[in-house]
Amino acid sequence: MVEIPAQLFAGLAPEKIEIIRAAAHLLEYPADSTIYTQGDPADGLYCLCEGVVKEISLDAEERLRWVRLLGPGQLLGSGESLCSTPQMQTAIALRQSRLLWLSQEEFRNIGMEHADLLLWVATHMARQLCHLRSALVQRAYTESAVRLTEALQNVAEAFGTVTERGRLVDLDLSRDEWAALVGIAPETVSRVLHQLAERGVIELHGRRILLLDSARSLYP
Amino acid sequence: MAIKHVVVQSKPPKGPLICGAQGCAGCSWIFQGLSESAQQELQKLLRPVRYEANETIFHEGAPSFGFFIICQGQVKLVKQGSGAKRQILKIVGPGELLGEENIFNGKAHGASARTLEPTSARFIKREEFLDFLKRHPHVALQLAEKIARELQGFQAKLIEVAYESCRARLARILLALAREYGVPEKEGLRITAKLTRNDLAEMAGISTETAIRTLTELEERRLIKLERRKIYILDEDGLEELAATLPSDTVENVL
Repeated sequence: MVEIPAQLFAGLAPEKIEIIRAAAHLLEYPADSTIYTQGDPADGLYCLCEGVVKEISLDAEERLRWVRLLGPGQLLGSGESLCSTPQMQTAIALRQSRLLWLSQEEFRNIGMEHADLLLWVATHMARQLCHLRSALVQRAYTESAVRLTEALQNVAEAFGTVTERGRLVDLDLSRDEWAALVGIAPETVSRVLHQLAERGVIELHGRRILLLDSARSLYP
Repeated sequence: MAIKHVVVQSKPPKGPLICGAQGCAGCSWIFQGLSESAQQELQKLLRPVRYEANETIFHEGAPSFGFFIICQGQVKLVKQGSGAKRQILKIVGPGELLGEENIFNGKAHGASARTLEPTSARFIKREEFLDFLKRHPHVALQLAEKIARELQGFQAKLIEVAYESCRARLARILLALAREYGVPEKEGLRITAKLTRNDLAEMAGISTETAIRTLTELEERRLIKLERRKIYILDEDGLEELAATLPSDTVENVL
């Protein structure tokens, strides 16, 4: 039995949730496995119940340009399913992940019968739209170092492990992936991480980053 | 990894004329496929509103009670950054929706809306429209698709602002404005949207000084012509060469 995060179906009546659960298939992905690939045909709606998923996209020259991290309660593939476009991103499970999947056909059929399902998906997307708009302003006008430090804190808060000395980010993200997550150059990621380490804000252990509680007052 | 370039479908044609306003070419495509009786049902929800030029329709953070359909005029949607920095998120013109994400997303406006010219619109209350959507799921489906396209557009803009130069961003915006609001004249394609240099800077996410410097450079290269607040596109192909290309062929929210 999969554990359903409270925020996943927030706002939906219990009987509507049951309709989705009855039609959905439970999919399990081990860490580092690909859920779908950029350019694949859209194949439905994925509801992340457990685990962490990394969404990435490359541009036409195969440069990594987009990274987003998703946790329990978030939706994947909704935009492509609604627009019937190929997948805009590749989705990879970073940790063992369990998802409820509604095929494209089931998603549309249930949606046309129960508009609440469409309104529920639209609510998830509207929330993300609000987040992207704030991120756009931040990207345009905030210094790279501040953006990276804020991203570190947000990732640590959402996906980090609490240790005696602080929050440990252990998601195996490369320098290039941090750069695409924040929208800065990979060289800036290296420079800022080393500066933060020198100031005693973080400790670097390969790709693992420990945000030290003792340095919390130094964060922006 | 083999990359397949993702191309979003072309923009759907406008929907039926819902408001009945004179000169309106049709309402948003989310209302396509509505029966006569459903159109009449929708018309009963519309409340006409008018604004002067440079008037604020709603403020960021203020409570939201519904959304607007713009019938005539143009409106800029602006988000406040830190300090005095602001970002114009998009320009909304006739037939388009304003604040539609607020139907789903909480009760406060995420940005401010200010008119660029005298504007007439129709306001629809959130609860009444949600009831309407439940009775007409295909409109709910098209509205959800519109929000999905907006998301793709903002994602493309996020990538653009991170990786493209100020000049490339400004050139793309000038081209997009010319294609949406351009009128052929003797001097060239005139952008009719009443935007200041500061507005252009806030659309591109650059400083006003950089915008002015870049516009002057584009004028010296004879790609555009500046005449007080008027901007003419003289060489569309030349500007295209400089312009940033959005990572996907986004059709919503390119301004």
